[in-house]
Amino acid sequence: MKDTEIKRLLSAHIVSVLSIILTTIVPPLFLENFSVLGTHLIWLCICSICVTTVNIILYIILKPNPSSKRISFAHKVTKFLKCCVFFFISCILFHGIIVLYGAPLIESVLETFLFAVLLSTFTTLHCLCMLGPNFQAWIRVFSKNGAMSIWDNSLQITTMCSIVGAWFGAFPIPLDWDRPWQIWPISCSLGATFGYVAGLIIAPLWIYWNRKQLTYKSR
Amino acid sequence: MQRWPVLLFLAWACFLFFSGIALFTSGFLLMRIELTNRSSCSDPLAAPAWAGQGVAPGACWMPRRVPKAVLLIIDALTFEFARFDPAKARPRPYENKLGFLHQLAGSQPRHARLYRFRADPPTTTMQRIKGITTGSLPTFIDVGSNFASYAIEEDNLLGQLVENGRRVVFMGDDTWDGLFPQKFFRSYFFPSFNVKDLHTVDDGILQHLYTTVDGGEWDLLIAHFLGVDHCGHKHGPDHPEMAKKLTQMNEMLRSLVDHLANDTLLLVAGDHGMTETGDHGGDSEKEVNAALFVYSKTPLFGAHLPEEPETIPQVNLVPTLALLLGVPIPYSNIGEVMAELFSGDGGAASAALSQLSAYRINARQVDRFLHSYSLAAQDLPAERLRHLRELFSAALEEHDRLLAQVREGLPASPELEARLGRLVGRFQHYLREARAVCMESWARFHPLRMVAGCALIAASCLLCCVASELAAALDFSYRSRLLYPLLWGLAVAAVLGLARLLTREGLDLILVGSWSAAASQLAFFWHSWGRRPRRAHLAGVQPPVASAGLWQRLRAWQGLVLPMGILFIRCCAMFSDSFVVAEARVAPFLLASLAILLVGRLHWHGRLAAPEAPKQPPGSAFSQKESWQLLGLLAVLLACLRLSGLFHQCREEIPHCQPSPFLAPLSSLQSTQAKNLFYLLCVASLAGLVYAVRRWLRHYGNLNSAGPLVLFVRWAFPLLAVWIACYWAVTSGAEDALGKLQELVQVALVGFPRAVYGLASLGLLLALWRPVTVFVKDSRESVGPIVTPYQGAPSSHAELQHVIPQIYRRMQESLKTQLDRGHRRATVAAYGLGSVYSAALVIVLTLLGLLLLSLHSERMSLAFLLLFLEGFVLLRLHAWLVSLAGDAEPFVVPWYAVTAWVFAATQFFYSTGHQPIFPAIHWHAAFVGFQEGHSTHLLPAVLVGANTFASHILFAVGCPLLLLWPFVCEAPNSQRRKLKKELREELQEEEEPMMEMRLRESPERFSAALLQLGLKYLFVLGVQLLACVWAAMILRRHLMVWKVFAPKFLFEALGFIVSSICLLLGIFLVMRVDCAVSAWFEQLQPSNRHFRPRGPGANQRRGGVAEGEMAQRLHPRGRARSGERSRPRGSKRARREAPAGAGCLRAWTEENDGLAGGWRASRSSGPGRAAQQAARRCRLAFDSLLRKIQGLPAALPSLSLELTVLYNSLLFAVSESDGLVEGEAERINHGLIRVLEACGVSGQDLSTEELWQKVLQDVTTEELCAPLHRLGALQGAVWLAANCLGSVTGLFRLLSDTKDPLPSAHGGENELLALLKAWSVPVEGDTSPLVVQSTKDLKEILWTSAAFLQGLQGLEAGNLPTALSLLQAAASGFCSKRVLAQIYTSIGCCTQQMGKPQTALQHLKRALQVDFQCLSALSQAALVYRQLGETDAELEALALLYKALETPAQEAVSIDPCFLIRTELLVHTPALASLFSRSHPSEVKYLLAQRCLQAGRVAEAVEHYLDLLALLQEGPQHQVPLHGRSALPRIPEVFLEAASALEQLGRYQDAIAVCEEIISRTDDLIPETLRIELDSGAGGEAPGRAGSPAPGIPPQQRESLRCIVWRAAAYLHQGWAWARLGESKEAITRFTRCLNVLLRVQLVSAASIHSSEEMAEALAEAKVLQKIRLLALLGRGSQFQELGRDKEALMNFQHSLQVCPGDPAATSHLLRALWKLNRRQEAAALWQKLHADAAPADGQQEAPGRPYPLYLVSCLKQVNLPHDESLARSLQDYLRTSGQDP
Repeated sequence: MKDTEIKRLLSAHIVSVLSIILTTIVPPLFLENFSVLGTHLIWLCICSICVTTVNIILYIILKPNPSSKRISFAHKVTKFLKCCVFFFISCILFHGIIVLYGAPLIESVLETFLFAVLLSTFTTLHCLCMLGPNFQAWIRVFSKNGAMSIWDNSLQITTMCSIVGAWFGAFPIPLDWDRPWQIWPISCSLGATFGYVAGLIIAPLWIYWNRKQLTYKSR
Repeated sequence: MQRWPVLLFLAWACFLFFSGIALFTSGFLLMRIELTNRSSCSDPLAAPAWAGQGVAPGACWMPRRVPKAVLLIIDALTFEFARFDPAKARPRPYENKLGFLHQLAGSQPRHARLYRFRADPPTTTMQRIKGITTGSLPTFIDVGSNFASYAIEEDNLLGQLVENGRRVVFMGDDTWDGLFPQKFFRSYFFPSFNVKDLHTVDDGILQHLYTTVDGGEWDLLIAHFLGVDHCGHKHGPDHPEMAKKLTQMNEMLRSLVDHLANDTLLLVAGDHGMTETGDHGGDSEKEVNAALFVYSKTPLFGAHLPEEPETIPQVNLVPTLALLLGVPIPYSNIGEVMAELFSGDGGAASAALSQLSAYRINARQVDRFLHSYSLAAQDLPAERLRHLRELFSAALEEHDRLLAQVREGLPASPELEARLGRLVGRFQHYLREARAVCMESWARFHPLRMVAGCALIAASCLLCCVASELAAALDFSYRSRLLYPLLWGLAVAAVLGLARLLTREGLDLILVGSWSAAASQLAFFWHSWGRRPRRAHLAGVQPPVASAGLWQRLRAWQGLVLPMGILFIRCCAMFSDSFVVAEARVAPFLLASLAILLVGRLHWHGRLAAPEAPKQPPGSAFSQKESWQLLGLLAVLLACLRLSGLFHQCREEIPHCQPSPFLAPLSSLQSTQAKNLFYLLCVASLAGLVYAVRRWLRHYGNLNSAGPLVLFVRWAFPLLAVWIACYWAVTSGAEDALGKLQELVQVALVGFPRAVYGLASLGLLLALWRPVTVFVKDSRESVGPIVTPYQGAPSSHAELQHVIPQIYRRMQESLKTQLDRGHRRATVAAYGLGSVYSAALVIVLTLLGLLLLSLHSERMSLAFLLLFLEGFVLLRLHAWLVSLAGDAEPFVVPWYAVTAWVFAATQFFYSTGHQPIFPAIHWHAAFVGFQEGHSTHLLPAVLVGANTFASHILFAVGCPLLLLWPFVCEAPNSQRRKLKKELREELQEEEEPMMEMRLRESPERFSAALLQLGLKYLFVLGVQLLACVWAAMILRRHLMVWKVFAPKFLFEALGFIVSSICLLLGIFLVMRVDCAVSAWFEQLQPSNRHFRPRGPGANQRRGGVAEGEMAQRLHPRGRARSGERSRPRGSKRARREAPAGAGCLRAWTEENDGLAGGWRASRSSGPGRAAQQAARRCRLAFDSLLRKIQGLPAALPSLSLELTVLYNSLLFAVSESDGLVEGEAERINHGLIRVLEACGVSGQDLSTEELWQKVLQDVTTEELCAPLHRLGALQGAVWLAANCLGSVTGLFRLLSDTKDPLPSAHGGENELLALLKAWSVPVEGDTSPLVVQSTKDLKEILWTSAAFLQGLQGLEAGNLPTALSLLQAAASGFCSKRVLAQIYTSIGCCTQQMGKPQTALQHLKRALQVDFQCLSALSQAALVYRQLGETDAELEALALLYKALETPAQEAVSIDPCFLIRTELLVHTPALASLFSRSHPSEVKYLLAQRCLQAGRVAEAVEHYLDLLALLQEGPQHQVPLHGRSALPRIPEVFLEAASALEQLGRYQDAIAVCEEIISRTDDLIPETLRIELDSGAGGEAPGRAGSPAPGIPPQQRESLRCIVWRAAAYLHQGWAWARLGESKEAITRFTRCLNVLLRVQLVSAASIHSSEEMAEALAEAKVLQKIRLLALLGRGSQFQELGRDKEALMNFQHSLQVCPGDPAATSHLLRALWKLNRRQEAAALWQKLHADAAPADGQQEAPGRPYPLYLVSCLKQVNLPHDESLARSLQDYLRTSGQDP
């Protein structure tokens, strides 16, 4: 493992974190009455789009898993379409899981769906960028000895952190504090975002501290 | 199995919890102290009279203002009901119905007024009646006694009235009867309990009301109407029935007012309100908001009319009414008079004055009460009391002053009025303050008891946890863990009880119970602590992996993190009122998280197969299809969780919450269509439940038998469902629709539920009585008369027609059994035996489910369906997870399963429409089947309790299923295993699934598992309870304590009690089934004895599968047991029958034949456990037979049989004990002695060889010859196994001699082999008894073994050619493939040692061809290749070997069923063991790595080393035990070699990292200084230790020395790596550190340190040490050179030369340094010396084979300087010149 690789990872993650911070700072300059809590749905959309673009751009620049094969244009297009389908399916799946977890089924469908989109952006999109629409590779990466590179490791960490964050985000909802952020799905989406950011920060550090063990693992 | 101790233990644990709960409750839910004081007229409380006001005669305290009063209590009259809003266009059913009140208030504002009447919580009727009559605040605990009315002891209004001679007439609710027994002048009570009954009470009252009013024989008339309340309970307020009821009340009021006299006061009050669902009991706004209407035909009120109705507390009614009626206010009243009613006529001032006098009386009464109360109890805060006192006395003084003024006759002025008004305000303020103080503090706690209760519960939790861990251990002793604690507890209880009795105090059961609980707990912990296992001292663990122990322990806890974390979160949630309120959603959330995490963890560990990736290691992972099934199950579970949320009940804390529509009974539905639809749905769910259960039972074959329970399931289940459906149909119909059939409906309403109860109880009793649901199919030959006698008319033709078919059938049958004989014996097939435990539990659960379901409202049946579905899915998931865990203990139910089960119970508590609050209790459950009410309180309490805790009951009873289900689900797994097996071995037959019968295999562990499961369940429940208790204790001053925490605690505690009792019942049921199954097995046995001649061991085996259902064969254990048990009986009978002689002999022969035949038949069933068990069983049977035969004195006729049986039994014994038999030889001896006895020769005191000689020479009886020869062969086998070749040879010489003299051994061929070959096997005649292994086979096997054994011995002894020929002979012999491969390998070894590697390779190859699992052939091949120098081939062989080793060993320890005696059993030599010891994968990996490194293939070596390190890191299973033979060196050396390889490859950073690892691991292991005395070689140097036997240094020092060497080497490597990276400074640091480390060693030797020869003898490491020092010095020097610090470099080089004088590398370095520093002369001198030494030095260098460890080689290479031509030349030049110079 080379330190340069970790540095690349770190810089990519810092860019991602900055982009998320910008989504809260920049839109008020252009939009009236914008606030993360007040107009949460808009923020959800903005955040999803922003993270998506930043991730794709980073992927194109950094190319974490370069493949030696040259790929034809048609192949690229089918791959892209496949990615879109995967993303959509993951949104639907997340929506279903969230509803099964207790979110309202009919009321606030839009909120739930946008939250599912945000979660997919934090998790599925990352996978799609790193591994492509290759379900087997996903399954491999998310198992104990499946990580083959630091990119895989960072993928594991950020995904887990996002989901755990969303899970913890559900905890304040029943409390009777009557805060604006207790409204569905604000606390969950904020939790997911904080989890994601935490994952982005933790991943390079963790990899740095454990680089010795990783030397042995990634044969 | 130990049944009672387990139950007792669990019951004891429950008792501990109960006592904790009781103690806490006694401290937490305290009642207010009731004072027994009474007010009386003579109390001097009345105010001094003021002008114009004389005390009327007969009045006391105040003049009587109202002679008569009517108090109408309309139960649950909410303010909303009484209010009339004409503006409302479309009133709801309950609105605008009491128009008459509005009319009165509107038309006569001075006569009538409506108030909001604020009830104090708890708003249950009895508490309200108490409050309305005593004027005090009933406390929380009274809520529980709602069912029982207790007479009111406190002073109350009715008591005062009666005492003052007033007549009180009552009609209505019979609760009053219990509260005020014998108080009424006249009374008309009507039953109140049946909330479904809307009319009885009201109609009864109306019947008597008007006549009583008109009669006038009363002073106070109380009428308590219940219709409105019951209507609310039954239909809810928003229902047409309510409109009807309220209209009725309106009419009643209208006509009552007509009947009233002018001086009568009418009070219409609601005792409490109702929620939107019509319930009450809590303290929500709607429940406390009742109405009060006051009316009198004379004007009462002033002209002032309030805009909005005033709000007055309920207790205010008491003082008001008392003073109005002219009786004393009850003593403990804290209410405030309603002042308007005392204003009377006249001006404002006089009104105020009369109000003030009422206030004054009221205030003085309250003050008196507070004073007495504070004397009786200290719970009212003294400070506030003082403050109240001040308020009171100030107001009193002011009043006195004012009165004085008034008496003086001052004219009424506005100023006086203002002062009067202010004074009224002050009195009001005082009274309200006093009430507030009382309300605040009337919950008094006993902190000590609460803390003690908490501690007791916590300790019980700990006990459960500890005991559940201990229970898994097999040495769990009930004596120390149960008996002693119990005795302790009893002793303490007895002592306390006695002490109490002696001191004559009352026996406080709670205290005694908790003391004894605490004592027994202490005793338990004391005993457990004393017996805890001493932790093994982990000495001698390899230093670098010393942390593995801790890591491993952490890993063991890893599985606990998940369930315990989730449980912890749940417990934390108990501390927040919001979370308690939202618990209905929290529990499913956590359960879903737990399930998802479990499945996710499976995936994380790679146990779920990836789609399209079937290449998983076999055995551990799921196939793809099963993974999807698992995910599907998870989805179903989540869906269940989500759907169950549909059935929630609301709490008032959650705004906008709509209670589930499913909660309401069907009868409340308006639309008929919807009603029908829902009804059909409910019935369908009921039918679905019954069908699913029957389907399950049928699937496992538990629905076949004709037992009573199965019959019950077949017939009564549908019947139950039908009855319940009928009951629903009757209840959901509209009440008046069936006008004429009303009576029939009443009967049906009572009859159906009672029938359901009865039938279900019958079923439960049946399940306890006969819980076995096994269907036995006995296909054994039935005995009995061949022809049943013909019953009909004795006509010959008809008789013939009847008889002939019967005879024919008989013949067919007997023919069939004869044909089957040999392989297919008669059988007993038991269907459903594998799920017999779960079947009983499932049946009981279904019964309970149906019972509980009928207690709920109709549409809850859907929730129950979901409950069963979810339970099933949970069990299924659990079974899968357990089967995936594979190696996990099957008897241990993991924590996650228990936690999930408890969570599901909690979740369904909410999902069956309950909430832990009192209004949410489904009271109507008490009337299911008891329409008319109850006479006792027990039955309704049970019914309501069963309704409330339905899910607790079901899940607790079903808890043992968690243990059973993985066994039940075992079948598909074994099928899967079978499929895989079939690929390998085609001949294999289906392995029978044992399922739950595995539990019976080890009854001890079964009972321990049940105990453990119960304790775990109790623990999880107890922890939740503890959290609740804790929350209630800590938050006892919280705003929400009475609303949220206290009810939650009560429900949780009750739920715990119910759950624990049901858990005990469930476990009891399982044990009952176990009892019954045992009894059943025993019952099966007698019928077997009947068939004894056919051989009991051989029958019962095979059975057909009936009707496609799963067949569960009889469990082998049952057979083994029955066999054992029948033995004594059989032997007794044999003795008895001995005189019969020949008959007996025949019977024995048949038994022997039967056993042998059975074995031959069963051995085709393939290897595995079954065969092993069959063998054991046969051996036992043969042993018992032999014992029987030997019980008689030896006789010639029976000897042949006896010897055969002995032979058979010995065969089994030998095969079982792997050929090493000690006692078996004795048995042969014994047999021989008996032979001699029979022939009349004494054979005592002879050795075995002599015995044989004697027997074979003396016994000439023809018929004994064959058995003796057979036995001889067996004796030979035994001797062979014991390596007694000489004895074997002698024996066979004898055996052959007896037949015919053998031509002496052929030249060259081995004598024994020749003898064996020549030995002719006795012929086995048809008549002779059967043997289990023929002598012919035995002979072949003996021959092969003998050849092999001798060959191996030859190999060992170095007698190679003989060995070769013998082995080759063995290879041609008769043996299994495995042995053949071994033989070939041995030949390979042999030829290799003979120096023919190519031939050796040929043989090894052959060995592999024969048996590809013969791995030692591979390793031998690698060795041969190494010898040949073919590195490629060698590496390939090693790689192959590694691959083979890495895949898990497929061969199970199997008994080849065909031959009991096999070659494997007979050949034991150390050579074989060392040759075929299985090498460890990591060793092989190391060999690979090392060979690569030695061969210079650095890149490959690095790969292998990294793999090896990863392997070693992975876990302890890859660590090789350190024994001498292991190829693997110590782990740090592996690391060092890896580092060296990495360095050679150029991966310096990695090398540094690896070295860092060593350095960090050796940190703690290095002593400050290590002083080693090399005195061993010196001799006589240390006189004190002259006697010490072991030369050399002590092992501990040696270990430290090694550590130092490793550490130094690591630094050295780092130094070189840094040097290669160009970081000279870093490198120098490392080298210095290396040297520093080395300096810690002090070698003290008498001999010179430099005498390295001696040192190397004593201490190999020391040499390495020197070398490392040299290398480090050299390295440092060269790095100094790099930096240009030549002088320091020179120093280093000189030093190094001192360390190793004459080392060429050091010399050349020094040379160069000197040259560089221009010290040419010295350089030249050195150069000459170097040249002089060169030749011998070279030789010395080459001489030792491997002088230094491998890891130093790379450094050594680096040190060697390339021969510097220029330097050499210039030196020579210089020498030349200098040679000329001097």
